Amino acid sequence: MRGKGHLFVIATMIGFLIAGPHSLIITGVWIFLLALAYWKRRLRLIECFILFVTSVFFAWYFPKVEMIDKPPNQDFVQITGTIQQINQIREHYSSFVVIEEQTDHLIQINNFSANQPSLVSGATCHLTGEVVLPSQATNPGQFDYRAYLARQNIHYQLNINDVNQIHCQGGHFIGKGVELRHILMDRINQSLSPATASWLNAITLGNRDGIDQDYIELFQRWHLSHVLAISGLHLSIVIMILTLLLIHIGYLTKERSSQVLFVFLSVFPFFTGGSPSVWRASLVSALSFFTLFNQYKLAKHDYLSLSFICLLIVSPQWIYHLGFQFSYLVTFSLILSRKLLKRLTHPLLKGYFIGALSMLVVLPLQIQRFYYLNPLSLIVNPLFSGYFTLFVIPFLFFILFAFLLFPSLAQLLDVIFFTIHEPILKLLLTIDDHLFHPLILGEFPRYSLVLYYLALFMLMYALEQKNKPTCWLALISILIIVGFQQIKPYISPFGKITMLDLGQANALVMELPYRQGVIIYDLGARPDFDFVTASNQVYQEVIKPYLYQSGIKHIDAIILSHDDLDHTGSLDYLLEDFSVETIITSYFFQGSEQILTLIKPTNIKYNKVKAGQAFNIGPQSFFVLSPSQDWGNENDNSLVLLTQFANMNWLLTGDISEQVELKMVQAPFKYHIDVLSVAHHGSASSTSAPFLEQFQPDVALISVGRNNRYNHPSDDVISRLRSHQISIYRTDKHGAVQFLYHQNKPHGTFFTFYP
Amino acid sequence: MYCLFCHQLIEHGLSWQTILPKLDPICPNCAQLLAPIHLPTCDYCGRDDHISCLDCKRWRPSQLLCYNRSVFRYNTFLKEVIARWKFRGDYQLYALFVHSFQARFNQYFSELPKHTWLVPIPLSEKRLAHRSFNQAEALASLLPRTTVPLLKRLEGEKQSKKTRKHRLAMRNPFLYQGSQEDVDFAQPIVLIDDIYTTGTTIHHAAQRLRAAGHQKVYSFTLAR
Repeated sequence: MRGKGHLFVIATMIGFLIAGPHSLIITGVWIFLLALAYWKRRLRLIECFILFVTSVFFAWYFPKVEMIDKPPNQDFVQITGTIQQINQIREHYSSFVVIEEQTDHLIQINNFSANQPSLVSGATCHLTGEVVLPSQATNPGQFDYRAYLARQNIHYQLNINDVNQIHCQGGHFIGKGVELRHILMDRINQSLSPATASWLNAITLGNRDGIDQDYIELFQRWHLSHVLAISGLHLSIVIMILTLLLIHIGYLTKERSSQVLFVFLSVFPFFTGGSPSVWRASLVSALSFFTLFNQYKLAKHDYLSLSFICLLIVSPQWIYHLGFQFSYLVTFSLILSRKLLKRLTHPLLKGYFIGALSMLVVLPLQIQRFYYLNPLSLIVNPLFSGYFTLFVIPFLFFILFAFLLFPSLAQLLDVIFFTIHEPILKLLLTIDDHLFHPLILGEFPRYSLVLYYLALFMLMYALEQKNKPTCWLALISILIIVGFQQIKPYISPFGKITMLDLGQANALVMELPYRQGVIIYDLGARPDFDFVTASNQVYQEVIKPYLYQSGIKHIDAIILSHDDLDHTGSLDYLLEDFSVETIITSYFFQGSEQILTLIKPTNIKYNKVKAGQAFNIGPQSFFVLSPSQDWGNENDNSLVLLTQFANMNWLLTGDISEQVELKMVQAPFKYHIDVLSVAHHGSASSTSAPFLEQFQPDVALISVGRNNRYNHPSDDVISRLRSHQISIYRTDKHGAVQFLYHQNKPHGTFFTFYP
Repeated sequence: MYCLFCHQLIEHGLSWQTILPKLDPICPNCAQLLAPIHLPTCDYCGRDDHISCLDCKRWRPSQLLCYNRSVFRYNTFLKEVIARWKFRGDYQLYALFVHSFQARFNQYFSELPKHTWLVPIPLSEKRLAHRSFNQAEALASLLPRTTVPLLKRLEGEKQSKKTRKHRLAMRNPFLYQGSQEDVDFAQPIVLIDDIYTTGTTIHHAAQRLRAAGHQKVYSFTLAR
């Protein structure tokens, strides 16, 4: 089966799919494909059998992801365990994973104290802290940290706020070796300029902790993260330098030096942080060196496939690791394209081809994870990739070797490096400011993913065949598959109303059928540590991912009920990322001045409305029921709106209290309410009995934080709602609550993120 | 797997097209030395380098053969392969062309009915004893049609030892040995041989078949 390693990789991945849902269908398709390959004389019977057995083995071998939602029995515990993995060590935060001695459970330790202990892999630690379940996604589009950790078989976290509660001793042989790396990093940090030191640590030693989070996000936006990961390229530079040193300075024979390199390669991953791409690169090189000693020769992609399977046998949870997936996808697609690359003679063309292919091949995974695509990076990305490949990476390794051998030379190189590197990073920042126009594609469904990869395969196949019509067909199919994501909301007859779970803060997103409008009622945030300013946390973690996931880039109207942090706090952040048409508030809205200054440099319209008025956003009409007068306090001045979705009357109330409700009850204009968005997070001072008596709602929506310090929602309100047989949906219990309706049908359905 | 001809390890450099390559026992290097005959070909003799050729001028008026079709050009490489196969007895080499031979037959003779007969060009008894297999029969056995030995060959000199002039002037070495009762003369016949060089052999064979009363005779050879 020499030269067929890649088939084992496919078999492994199919094993992974068999382990998931629809295993029978996938097994059936797999058997059919193998039979087809046998019948078409592409595989021998024994090969089909071996491949099938491989996938069955992996279907059994991949760990089943269990979600444990049971809260811990006690809050504060003392545990003893061995450090298995060190995630990161930053100035005010470190995180690592230990195996608990008694239960063998993996526990992630988060240390928030100002001082960081010295951590060594394999060390035995006594730890005291608070046990918590990892945070869970409660909104569509939100990153699910609990599921993420569960895939690594980690179900609990231990939070520690005091470094004295960490006592570690010992560490195994490899852990001690890794310690050397920390010493080296510290020395680099002390003797070189911070700018150079952070890049040197990241690119040669695989520790990104020194690089500004802004840069990491910048690189992410331009699909450049891969240059930050140590990969085959870095390794080949190291191997080249070492071979030169060993052969020309050490006077070793080729065989001897490859043995030395083999040993070097087997410790290299430990020394550079052990990310999947380092492991991949080292393993592939080590395997090919190993085979230099004996006669058995394999094809290059066989080594790659072998490394893939070895890594998954050792740590099967890596199949979920984005870096692992990217690393192998890109490497395999480049190996497959060797023939095509040979045809391109100009190195610049080659660079572009590699850049574009790497981007295309990971694109669906990127969309699935981040919901957007940055089309201009197709132009910008290869330039910067090239800059890193040709200059930054070799030069930094040069600095590292100089630093180890001739420290004074390193000082000089340091200056040269940052005088070149800083302006170029600035350039990328400038490009980012002006040219970052993401295409927000929303959720990328499985079938699109399959179709996309089929089309990409067809494209590459046809390129290799020089079959122009098929190339165009494939290229157009790719554009259609991706473009369809953009059109989808405009042809969908379904409307969607979403009450996001922001904790103790409100946001109601209304997406009209056929994307005739996107309207947001309230954009809350939670206070920062100072309790006054709005934190961008819920915006970054919930609001933006939700809007991206729904493929929203333009918002027709933002309606703010009243000027409180938990109803308006995320506005500033949102305006930076989205285009907004209109902002609407009541006449008595206190923050009008701030809004005016905020929108001054833009062409956003600002409208104020009051009771008795009506306004339209696209086809959607809103009637303003309150405030008709200045109530003297912000909550009571909340903008109360009546609107209709699926022939049901919806009342949006902000934070009004009983007295405003009473006024509405007494108003001469009579109407019925079907869906009530409960005022003031279910506070006892609102949602009075006469109000419910008068309007007789069927459904109540409560946006309220878990275990909030105001004890919202009040038990009185809940019992009042119950006594009127009103169904209650609340964000603290259900997560995000969604209402889905059809343009032409009289009813819709409520869905909750958690059943 | 090793290449049957050059005995090197068969390695398809992995590319988008060779993710699942065919299990042919020939390495990509040798495979590229084979020159398949592409359409359009001469509608009579089936060669694609000179679409109207001298051989055709000679044979076409005789109207013995409907047409001939071949799989590969008879180039230096194929000469070497056939020489090793036929004269040095490396019987297994036929596996190199199994797929192309089958595929081309299906392509060129798709219009003929399923019960078409294949008639391999026979060897004389002495030659068969010497060579221990008949290459034409080996080729015919690859095709999904009935092989019927309607011809017999008289002793004679080896074809390949003769010059072109000699060959053309040769007397017909074949004898018809079908019996009147079991033979359906309306049935199309495809003559099978390894090489079509001047066309003499094929036309001699065709002549005997036509003389016996067979109405439609075609021929299919590995090399042209």
